[in-house]
Amino acid sequence: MHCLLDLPSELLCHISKNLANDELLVLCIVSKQLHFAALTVYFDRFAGVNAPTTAPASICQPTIAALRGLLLALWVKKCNSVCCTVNSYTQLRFLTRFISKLEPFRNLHLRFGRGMEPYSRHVIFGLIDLMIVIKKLGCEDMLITGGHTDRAWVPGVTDLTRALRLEGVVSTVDTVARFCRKLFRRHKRDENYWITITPSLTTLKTVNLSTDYFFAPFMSTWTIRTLNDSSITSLTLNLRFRNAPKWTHILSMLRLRHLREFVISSNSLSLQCLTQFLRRHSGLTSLTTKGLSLEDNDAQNKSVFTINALPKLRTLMGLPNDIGHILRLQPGFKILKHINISDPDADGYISSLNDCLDAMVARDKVYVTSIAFKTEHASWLLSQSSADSERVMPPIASLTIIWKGQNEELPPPSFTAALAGWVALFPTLEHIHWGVKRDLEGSQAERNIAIAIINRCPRLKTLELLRDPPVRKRQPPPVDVWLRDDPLSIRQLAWSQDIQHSAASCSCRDKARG
Amino acid sequence: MVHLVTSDNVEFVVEKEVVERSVLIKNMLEDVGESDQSIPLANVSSAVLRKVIEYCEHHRGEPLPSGDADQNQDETRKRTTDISEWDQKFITVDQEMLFEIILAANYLDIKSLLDVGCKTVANMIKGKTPDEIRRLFNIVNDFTPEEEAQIKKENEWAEDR
Repeated sequence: MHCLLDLPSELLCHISKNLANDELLVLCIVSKQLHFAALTVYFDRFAGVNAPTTAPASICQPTIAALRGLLLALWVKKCNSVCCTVNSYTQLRFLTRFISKLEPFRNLHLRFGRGMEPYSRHVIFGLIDLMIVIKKLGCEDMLITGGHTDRAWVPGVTDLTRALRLEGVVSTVDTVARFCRKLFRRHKRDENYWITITPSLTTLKTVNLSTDYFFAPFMSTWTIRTLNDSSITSLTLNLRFRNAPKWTHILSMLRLRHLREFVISSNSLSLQCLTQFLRRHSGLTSLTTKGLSLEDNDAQNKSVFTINALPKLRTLMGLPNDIGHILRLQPGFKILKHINISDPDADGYISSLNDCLDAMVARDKVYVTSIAFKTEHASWLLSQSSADSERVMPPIASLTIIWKGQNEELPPPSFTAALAGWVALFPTLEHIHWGVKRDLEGSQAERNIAIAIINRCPRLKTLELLRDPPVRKRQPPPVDVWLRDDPLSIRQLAWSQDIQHSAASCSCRDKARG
Repeated sequence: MVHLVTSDNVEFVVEKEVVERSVLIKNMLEDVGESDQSIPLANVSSAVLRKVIEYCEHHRGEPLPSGDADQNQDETRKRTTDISEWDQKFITVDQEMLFEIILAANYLDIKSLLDVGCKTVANMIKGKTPDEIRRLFNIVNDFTPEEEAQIKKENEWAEDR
């Protein structure tokens, strides 16, 4: 007696091919043998019979059915990586359910389509389930990309530490924070899980937040709490839009005990808010401001910076205007040494430079400073050096000139000469580092400049002339160093990748000296 | 003429043109060459072979479906196309015979007959509930209730929308 199930499975498949999709789904339920046959056909219909198995199976904008077909591709064809776009919560749930039945595979690249930003509660739960399933299966890697951005966070599934690598966007931080909290809550009893995850949170070091995207509203209270619990050492806030109340609120909530480096750019933050934030983070060693537009009318707040604020601050970076303001608040920066005046493209850069230098004079400390210049500043430099006024210059011991030119542009000789004149105004200068134009390399003009500087700076010990601004992918040229100890010899130094580095090496030497 | 011997030792003598609709026998004849030796068909009974030969005689002279090129086109068409009237009448047999014909067609490699058989089975499945299908083909449900519930749930996800 023959019956349907006596037929070999390829014949069952052959029969199934004559059925429509929904009929195949009915057939699935009849028996295990038919389940296999129907699903095999189902897969073939969506994934294509001839799909090569080595290429990642990939599908965009899938219907649920297509998704199923795709995943079957993993199962039947033993593909080891899959890339698919998820557009709805339903799809995510289905994906999870289905993946749980598959053989282990290597990579999963999940792309969230528009309207599926990974911050809703549903989606987070769905994601967690998916991760757990994938972890159980022992898959190696999982990449989740948002539809709104190409930024991604990459959880290595076997080792979830990488899951907490943050990149850029607020929503991403938020996602990870939510994700972790839920995961903790759900798996508190699972010691292994707990242990795998926990160090990840505590090793979270660098966070960048910006208002590039409109996600600030989702920066919720407990996201901030998560951040507060972590040991973030570096925080970058980029507040470009006028959402001051929101960000003021966020800043007032942040208490990062381990924060060491803080970078902020904003056009709408009040001085009070910032100073309060800084007061809570007294461990800061480096503060970078990019266009804070601090106003003098905050005069009544000058007292908020007590003499003890930021006792550990070593480095101050930013526009001369901001630095001037911060220094004029008369804070007790006990060990502030490095001041980097940057971004010469900003409005009013050069006009506020003298202000900033005056503010530096007011503090009776010796600085290691770097100052950025552009060609347009040549006339200003000339006017400064020829003014012959009784200006008091700040006690800068080591000065690095950062040349900010276009890609291939080199500082013209007239600029270099003007700069030499200006540099000579600093009475206590001991070390100078800056680039010269290639035409001048080893020429008499260069020698003249060097001699002029050496003559006018009685305390100068090192004169470092970096050849050319660095051009990418070019072997760096040698550096000439003139040492007062040995005035006639010019020693060759290895070129550092950029002039910034030479500032660093300079500060190292400083430290070595005591 | 070609001599065929079935599993129950009945000998059929069939015209070469008719029997060559079976790719298996066609290849066999090409390999062996002209001979009076009978070809044993161990997997096919006489009753089934009679039906198969009836089908082949009716369809003699029609071009053999060739190559894989049309196969894909066929597959998309197949789902909607119906079985021709004669084939319909021919295939109206009891289930056991139907499956035997399908098996024989598969063994003898007669694609058109195999298609007809499979379509017929598919037509029987169409529009039925899983229970009806089980009753129709006398299939035992080997899923546990939990498994069945899960598949049903999955299918909900999988429905096109």
